[in-house]
Amino acid sequence: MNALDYAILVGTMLGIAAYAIWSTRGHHDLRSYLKGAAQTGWLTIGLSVMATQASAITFLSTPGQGFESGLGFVQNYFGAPLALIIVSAVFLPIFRKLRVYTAYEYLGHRFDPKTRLLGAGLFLLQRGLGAGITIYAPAIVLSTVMGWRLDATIVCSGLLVVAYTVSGGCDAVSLTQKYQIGVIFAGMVAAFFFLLAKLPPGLGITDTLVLAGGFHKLEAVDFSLNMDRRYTIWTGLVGGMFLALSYFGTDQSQVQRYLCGASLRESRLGLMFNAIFKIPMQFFILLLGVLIFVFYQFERQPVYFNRTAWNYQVAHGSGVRLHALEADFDAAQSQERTQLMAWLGARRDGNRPAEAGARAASDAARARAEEARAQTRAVLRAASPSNTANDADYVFITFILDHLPHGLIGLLVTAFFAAALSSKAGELNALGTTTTVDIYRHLARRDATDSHYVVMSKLFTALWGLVAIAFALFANLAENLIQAINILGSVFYGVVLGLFLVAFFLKWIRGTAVFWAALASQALVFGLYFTLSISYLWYNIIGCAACMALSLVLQAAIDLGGRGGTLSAQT
Amino acid sequence: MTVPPDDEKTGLPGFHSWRQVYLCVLVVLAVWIGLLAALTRVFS
Repeated sequence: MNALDYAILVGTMLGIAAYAIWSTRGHHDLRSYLKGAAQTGWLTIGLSVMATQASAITFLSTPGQGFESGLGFVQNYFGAPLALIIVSAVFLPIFRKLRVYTAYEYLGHRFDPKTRLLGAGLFLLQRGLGAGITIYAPAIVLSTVMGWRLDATIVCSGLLVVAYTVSGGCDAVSLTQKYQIGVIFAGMVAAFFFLLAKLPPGLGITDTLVLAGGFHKLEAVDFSLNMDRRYTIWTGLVGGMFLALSYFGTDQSQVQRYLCGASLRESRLGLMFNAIFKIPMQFFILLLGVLIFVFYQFERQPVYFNRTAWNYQVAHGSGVRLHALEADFDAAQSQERTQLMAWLGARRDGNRPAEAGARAASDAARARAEEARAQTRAVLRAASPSNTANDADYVFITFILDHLPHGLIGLLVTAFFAAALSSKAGELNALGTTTTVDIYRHLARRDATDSHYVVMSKLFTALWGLVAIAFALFANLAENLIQAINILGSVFYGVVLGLFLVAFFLKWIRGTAVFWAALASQALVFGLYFTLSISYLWYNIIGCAACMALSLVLQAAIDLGGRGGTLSAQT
Repeated sequence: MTVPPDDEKTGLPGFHSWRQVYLCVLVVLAVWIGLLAALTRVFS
């Protein structure tokens, strides 16, 4: 990065934050601090909902997933439009009618205080942990790019988002998210067109797709019924719908975004905006990763993208082995490049036998390169077991730094940073609101003034920011980052969704039955998570179904016990 | 709980009720899945 890149990064991020603080300086009452000034239009809501969900992990890790595994991950989002329709038609009108600040307040209205506390507690637990993961992702990028210490990067980025979220509340979050997502889209679209321009001359769109398809990178839809497969159309439509329904309908970080709409219509249109554009957006980001894969078939690529980890191990004892593996990888890559150029030439000439021969030879070279890469990863993992970050997370940032011009580098690093801050702000805003409304106001101080609650809300938001920073500093992150967040969500979300579905659709069930059913279901999900190896999306359905079924059974038992007691008393 | 009639107005040209909007979203979803399935089939 040069001075221009730094100027874009610092100027954009500080400028947006300062503008949000200045614009929301008059919001001192509780309603405007927690729900905004009730003037937010559908586009701002739509972009705000999108920005809260699409964190830096989405833009950093998803192209890496496209690079490594292709388009299959897009299926995860097939259920989102279905869920958003249900939220818009059922959840949203009730939340707005009751004028609640949080989704869990509704559980208090419908059931009892302990069920409200359970819903709020599960949210605070899982979102508090998730907040640490979302702050960790941009820190990886920035520490790699700038050579900063990872802990310093986590602290600096964390404190910036805490500052404007605490200062401006809900409106500051929505306002910053609108501009931040503009920066993100500008960066991603620019990267896409630069990448297209950098593909080898003569390699048309069809050739690119044929090449990517040959490496199984364009398998976007899998109709397999195999439960062990993580992404299929069924996990996406059913599991993805439950995950999205839990997230958009019961997660306060999203509920707070659309509750700040000027009217029910504005909130609904904001949700429908996401229902239409979520899948194309994810497809576009994954396709970017696939194109980077194609690009690197014709350009020299590193055997291991995380150069910081690589250089450290080279300097600390594994150098000979790693350099040998790198030489094997480079040799195989070189052969593959030669064969792919021959394949392209034969394809242009219409020479089918030569095309097939070159393709087979390139596949063989590719297999050797992948073997060298797998061995490299194994060596690095054995040398440093604490380094559990997925190398795919470094693919996009490596491409940006090595192949894009200055200015655009700054814009894309700003986009990652903007994405990180936008989702982090939504989470902190929701954590602070839930702690204030559902815990503090409900349990500690019921009749304090508005200004007292605003002060406490700011205090809790800042506190959650510090917790997230601490978690990011000490968390030992597993697997691919985006999957880690979704797995975490799926373990808790199903049961919370079960609480809400019982509340909306099983009107005869009361608080005690649903409370104990939820606790038992959460224990069941934990037990299954540690014993089964099914796709994590299924835990949403299992948790939700268990909570609903157990609620029915317990309510029936309570009713039966009550009637039995009445009969005994009568006889 | 019933929703006030004013809230049923979508304000979108050609869409007189939210049911029509939701139906349109479902059609868009079906089109997306169809296009992605075609992409998978053609280039696998």
